[in-house]
This record gives sequence, C-alpha cells and structure tokens, in this order.
Amino acid sequence: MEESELQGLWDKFGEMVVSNPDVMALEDLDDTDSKQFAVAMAEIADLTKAADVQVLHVAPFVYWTRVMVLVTAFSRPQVNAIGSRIREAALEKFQRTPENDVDDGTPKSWTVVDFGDVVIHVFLPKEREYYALDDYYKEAEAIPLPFANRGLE
Amino acid sequence: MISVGTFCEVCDNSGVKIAQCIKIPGHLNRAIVGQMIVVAIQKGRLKKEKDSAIKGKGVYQAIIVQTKKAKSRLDGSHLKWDNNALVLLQKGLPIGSRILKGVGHELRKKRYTRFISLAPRIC
Repeated sequence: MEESELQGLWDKFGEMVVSNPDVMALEDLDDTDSKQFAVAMAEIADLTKAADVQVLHVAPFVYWTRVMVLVTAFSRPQVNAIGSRIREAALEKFQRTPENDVDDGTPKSWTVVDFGDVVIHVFLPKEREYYALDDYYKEAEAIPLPFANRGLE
Repeated sequence: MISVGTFCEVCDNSGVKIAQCIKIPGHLNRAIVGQMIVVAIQKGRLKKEKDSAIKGKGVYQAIIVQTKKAKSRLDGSHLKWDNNALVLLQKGLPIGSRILKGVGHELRKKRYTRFISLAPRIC
C-alpha cells in the first residue's frame, strides 16, 4: 500500500467510532459527585469513632475507580459497625447500594465497601500498616476533609 | 483453566514461587480466573516463616488471577496470559502485601476488590 492510499483510509476510518455518542471519555468525567459522596461517607466513618480518615482522588492513576477512602478502626466489631453505618447512610442520603460488596457479615480485619466509583477500605491498625495503601497511592491527591480539625476546636 | 495437579506461579511478595493445585472446592474439575482453590507450596517459602523451623510445604488457599486458557467475556473478547498465576490467602486476606502482575477484572465481580487494590494493573 502506498502512503497516499493509507492516508485516504485514515481520513475515512481513522476517527474513533463510538456506538453511543453520549458516552464520555474517562478524562472528561467530572468527579464532583464522587468526591462529595466520598467525603460524606468519610464523615459517617468519623462519627463512628474511626481514626486517620483519608480520601484520595485516584482517578488519574487507576481506571477502575475514582475516589478511595481509607479508614482505621480499632476492633473487629467496629470494622463491621463502620461498614454497616456507611451502607445505611448511602442508602438513606444518596439512594446508593454497594455494587460489588465484599463484606459477608463475618468479622474481618479488612473490609471493603465497593460503590463502583468510590471504594471504602476499613482496616485494623496492623493491617493498615502492613498493606500500606497510603504509600501505594501516595501520588494521589488527598481531598481536604471539613471535619478534620473538629476535635481541636 | 486449572485442574488438580497444575503447577502455578505465585505472583505476590509472600516469598513462595511455585504452588500446586490440590483441590478445587465445589466438586468441580476445572477452575477459572477469580476462583478460589487449595494449593500446596512446592518451591520457595513464606517470608513470615524464615525465622521458624517450618520450611514451607504448607497448604493454603489461593485465588487464580491469570490463566493460559483464554477467558471469554460478555463483550465477545477473549483474554489469556502467558502463565497460570495465583495469589495466596490466609483467613480471607492476602498473605503478601503487593501483587506483582496484572489481574483479571473478574475478581471484582467475585467480591475480591481488595486484591484489585493491591495489583499494579487490571486486565
């Protein structure tokens, strides 16, 4: 094939074909709703006496989720309590249920609540230090939390 | 697709290199990506056991993350990898703190999102 022929094919078929024109590229997605939902869920965790709450905007680095919330709890019942409170609050305030829920009710030292665009990890301190997701996603932008200095005021 | 007797690569930083499938729960003959199996350690040993007298050769649960047999998906595509690879489990949690290879996104639908969080890429 000559270059002119290839250029003709590129001009004819080179553009990306999208079956549904309403579908947007991942870069064009606005994460405002996801961030608001994640901050609301982080506040629910904070009200359940969780510690070291972090909300990370991981969308530039991974494609499978937009925002990740990391929470530390201090006992296995508290891990379950935080997970169930988050699920209840998401259903009441945002009418959302976890799409790929990991928690099966048994007490665990690491629970994940997966809402698709927002993934919430609840650890015990030992597991949080061992798996070190904070370090793994350290380049992600940390979203400021409005309740971070509540105890100091 | 993994059957009883298959040797698989362990792709986490637990210290184990090769493990052999010895049981597929659920009276099944074959296991696919995202399925849990029982393995026996054949080469390498856990880093946690270095200081103890136990030198590996233990029996653990594992999650399959890659298979040589092509996996068909609902969109019509097929995906296969170079090796059969798995990740070791203990009490429902990964033994290693990092996964060293890409994992199939079937794990998310099988309720193993925590493995996806530790993986470098999702295929």
